[in-house]
Amino acid sequence: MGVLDNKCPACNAKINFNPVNQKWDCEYCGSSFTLEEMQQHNNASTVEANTVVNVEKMGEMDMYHCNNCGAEIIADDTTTATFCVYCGSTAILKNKIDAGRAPNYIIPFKNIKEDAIKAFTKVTKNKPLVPKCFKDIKNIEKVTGVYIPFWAYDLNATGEVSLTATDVTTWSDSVYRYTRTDTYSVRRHGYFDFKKVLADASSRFSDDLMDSIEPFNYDELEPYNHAYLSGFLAEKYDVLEEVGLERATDRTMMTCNDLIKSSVRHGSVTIVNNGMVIKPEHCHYIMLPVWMVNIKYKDKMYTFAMNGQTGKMIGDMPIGGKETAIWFFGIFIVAFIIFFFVFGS
Amino acid sequence: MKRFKYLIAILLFSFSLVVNAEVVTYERTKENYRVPSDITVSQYNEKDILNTPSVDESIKVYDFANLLSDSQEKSLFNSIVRFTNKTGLEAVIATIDDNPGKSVRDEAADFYDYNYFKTNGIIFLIDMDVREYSIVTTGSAMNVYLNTEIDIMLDNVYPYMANKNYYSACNSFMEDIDRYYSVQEDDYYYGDSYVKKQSIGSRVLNAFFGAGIVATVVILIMLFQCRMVRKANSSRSYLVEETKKIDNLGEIKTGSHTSRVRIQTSSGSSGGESRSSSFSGSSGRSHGGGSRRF
Repeated sequence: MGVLDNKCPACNAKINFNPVNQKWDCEYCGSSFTLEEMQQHNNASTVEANTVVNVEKMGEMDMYHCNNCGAEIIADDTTTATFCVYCGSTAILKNKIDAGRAPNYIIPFKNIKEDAIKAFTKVTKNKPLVPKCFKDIKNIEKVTGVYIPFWAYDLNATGEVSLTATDVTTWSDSVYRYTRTDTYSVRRHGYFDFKKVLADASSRFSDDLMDSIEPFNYDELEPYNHAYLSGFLAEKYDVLEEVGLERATDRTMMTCNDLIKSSVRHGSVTIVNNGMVIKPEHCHYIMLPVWMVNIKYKDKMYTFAMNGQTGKMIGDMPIGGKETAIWFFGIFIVAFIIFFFVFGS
Repeated sequence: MKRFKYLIAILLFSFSLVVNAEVVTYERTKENYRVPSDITVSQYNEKDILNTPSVDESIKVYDFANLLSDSQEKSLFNSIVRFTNKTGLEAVIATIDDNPGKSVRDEAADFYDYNYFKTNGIIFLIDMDVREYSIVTTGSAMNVYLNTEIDIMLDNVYPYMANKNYYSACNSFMEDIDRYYSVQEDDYYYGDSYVKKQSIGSRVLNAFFGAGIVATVVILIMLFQCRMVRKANSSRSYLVEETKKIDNLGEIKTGSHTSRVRIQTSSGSSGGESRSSSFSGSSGRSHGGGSRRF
């Protein structure tokens, strides 16, 4: 079990991945390296280039020693990359990654911390019910770039579906209004392939929050490499593959039903018998980049998540009672005047 | 002898109550059509004008069919005068027993238009020839008595007409036009729509509830915008479009059901065949109104 820390091939100082140029930049000597160059210098993904230290058990936490300064690093079971609080070096906890299944793919960060702060400011800007002090970036406790583990399932859906459909036609003559309801029994067979349907593999983050920052662009998927973790936190899966499959299957079944129903050219369509079967063909373990923005407001922590690839920012905002009351009465007064003078006269 | 004279006088008086006076009409000629100045005589309406009796517009009650006694006519005349003084609208009652070959509604409109009645008014015409009666409005009376009111009035008149109680039918007409005018005084018209005028209290109440609903809906929308986290319910973006295949295994029509509902119209339902709508008379004036057989 050990700690990996990517070191600059030129000066041997700690080196982090820079999302802006998609390279590893050394803050000390100014060198910049591509993944291939890092690998050529026995760096990225190689255990030999990094100091191996023993891990000591501290209750439910594990203690590591920083390769750079020797300080102690405390990490829980699911943390696979963290920082040394003394020297700031990234500590990639290889033993955690190696224990269990290793990630297949990773999408490197494309946004930086400042982008996350900007996105937070933008998303809260036109929300008048959100208290002003919540929007103040001074309240941002922490902005953390985290690689979140996801299960990505290749699913095949096939099967027969029975539906009932109805068409309602109305017409009238001078005396009566007629309504004709035609009912149909419809059978369809569907076949669909889905690639890399995501399910959050970390219980530490809200599933709904992780759902909300989708989609990710899979064209930028890279084969997994530890080096991408440098400069960021990383989590390890603690949700079993089978559990994640249930969530992926549920959402996929809804999509299949919608597709089948949309193929029936009638007014209203109801599924009466669903023989659609969804089979997993492959499960990928991928690490996806997410900026977590934590805001402390009135002793409560609010978590926003930004897709580290696309920049999509999501989070539930607190509602200010005073702001709500002001807006309610403001709208009420304007509407009252309009109703009274325009519609009432 | 004195007692005999007294008896004769009573008989003559009674006779005068029963026997109807003839309606005085004036001859229309091509030199003098005797129509209001706003009426344009053309080849299309000349015949209608000449066939329409020209009467003294001050009489108000024209009993060509002799359905009313003089005293009844006088009573109706007094009602009409009271109504006109109150409303400024003309009211005319006419009975005929010789239909010139046009609809009773058109006959009523022509009788009103081709005599010197006010441009705003209402006429009740009973045609004994085809056993149909009609109520026709013109000018601002069209806005006072809409089809709904006219149909109700036609309905109210119907039982009297069926029982040959023509005086009561005319009285019913007079009571109705007076009552509906009083009701509409509290209301007003917006374009072609008849709108109930609201009291200040009801306006405040309506505005209060309307504003409350608007403010609540807007606040709910704003609240919804602050809740951005949603569970994913679709995998549509992960579908490999090229693999999508949906086969139609069959489609059978299992049933068809047709139902019908009578269209709600403003027509009355108490009996008789009825027609009620806006129309133009042969004079070119617009009218509202309807008719009913009895």
